[in-house]
Amino acid sequence: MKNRLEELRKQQGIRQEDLAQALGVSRQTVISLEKGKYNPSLSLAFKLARYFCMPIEEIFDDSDEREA
Amino acid sequence: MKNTSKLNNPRYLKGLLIVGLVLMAAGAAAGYLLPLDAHLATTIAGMASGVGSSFALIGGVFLFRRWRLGEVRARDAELAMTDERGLAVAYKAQNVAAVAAVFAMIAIMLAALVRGDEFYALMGSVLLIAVALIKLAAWHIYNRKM
Repeated sequence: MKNRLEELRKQQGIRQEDLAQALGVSRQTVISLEKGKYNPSLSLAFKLARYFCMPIEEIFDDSDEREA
Repeated sequence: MKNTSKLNNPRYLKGLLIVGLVLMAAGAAAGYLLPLDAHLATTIAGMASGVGSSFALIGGVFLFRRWRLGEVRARDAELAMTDERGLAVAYKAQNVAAVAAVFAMIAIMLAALVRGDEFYALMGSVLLIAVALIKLAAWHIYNRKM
């Protein structure tokens, strides 16, 4: 699943370490999320949405999965 | 899921290291000082020494790793093993290990069959059937729970 995490994080000038700390996950998890290698749980997706103050569907794009 | 591992806490690690070193030294000293015919005492001393060296090794390795990485990176490395991605990775690794164990069991059973060792062939078959039954039971339990 694609996402805009890296773009949003950079827009707001946040470091990966700080985002990881705010979400209660490791920096490695943030890196994997940004690269699209790991899909977050529903609760982590909600945490991200709350952190960036936007709906989940504006952060994550599941169009490739819908097509499949 | 909350991480409850005591291996993240340097206080427990130091305690484990000290207990391990004391047990190891006491076991080694007892083994050296005890008369040769004190079989039971020597066995207990050997066990204490073995358990102590394991404790000391675990405590030492984790403390060394913590010292080498630094406090911040060590905390992140621990979090990487226990956050949701870490648990997902561990779950997958566990599945691979379980599959590898089953294949090893099949290999042992086949080797025992070829060698004509009926006891080990039977043990292998019983273990494989037990694994299959446990998996089936676990599947039913989790299927109801989730």
